[in-house]
Amino acid sequence: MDPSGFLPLPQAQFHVLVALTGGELHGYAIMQAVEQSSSGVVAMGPATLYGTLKRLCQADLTEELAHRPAGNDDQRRRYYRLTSLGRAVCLAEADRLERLVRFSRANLRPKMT
Amino acid sequence: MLTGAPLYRALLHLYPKAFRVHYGDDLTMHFADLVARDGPAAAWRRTALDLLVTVPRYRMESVMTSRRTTISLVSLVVALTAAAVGAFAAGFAPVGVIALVIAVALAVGERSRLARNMRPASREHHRRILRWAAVLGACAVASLAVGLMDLGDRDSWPAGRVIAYNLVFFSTATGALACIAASLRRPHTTTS
Repeated sequence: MDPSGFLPLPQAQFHVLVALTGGELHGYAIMQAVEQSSSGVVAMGPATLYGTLKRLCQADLTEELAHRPAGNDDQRRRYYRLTSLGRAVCLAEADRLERLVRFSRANLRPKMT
Repeated sequence: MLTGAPLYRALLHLYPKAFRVHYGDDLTMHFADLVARDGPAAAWRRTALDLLVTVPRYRMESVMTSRRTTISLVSLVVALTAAAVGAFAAGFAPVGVIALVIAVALAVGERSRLARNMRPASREHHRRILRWAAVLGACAVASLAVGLMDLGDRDSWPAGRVIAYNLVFFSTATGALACIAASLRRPHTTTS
């Protein structure tokens, strides 16, 4: 499937995908990673986070792990990871945002006379 | 320390059952982690806002994506089309046109909503919709032509046949229009 069909990604979905680029994480760890990557600007509530994860799983961008990677962690915690499609979509969105930032910086920078 | 965890667990019942059953444990643990890290007041500030935003949204999504809603909307579209046929047959053309327009709008809206909830449409899916539009359009034209040939030279038209021809014509024409409207959505290319 073409990753560009998913663009532009909603902000919450993109933040969760970016958090999962670091590896397999459970919900609370994803929230912490989102806070860290956004310097605390994005603070997702629990239901917003799990609703976003549900949508991402339905779109095959992330998947729930059948096993629990951390042996001493609570076994009830559900872990998530990026699928190959999710990785491609995340990269495509990052490229899109990069182009947007480059374009806006070029337009906003004072013109040399 | 009072954390309000039982209250939060109780408030989870505001969410749709499927969501609550699947994510209930995770939400409860998440809330406990927030309380442990930020304290009850900060955890509740974040969670209360989250509840206010997500409960109505997830409830609405649950209602809108239920099969029951789709079936009742489809039934309404069929009833409106039948009413339009009846109105045309009885000579109340303006009423028939209004009923038909509402039926088409409902059908297109429901189809678009379902499409949004599904994966992006592929080119093959787009072509399939257009093929259906062509088939239904051809059926509509054929039923109109056959109806006019059959009824055209009669002094008085038998009501049963008029209703039957109208029913076939308007249902196929409605379907063709709905397919054409649905195909106006930009198809996404697929590489696989």
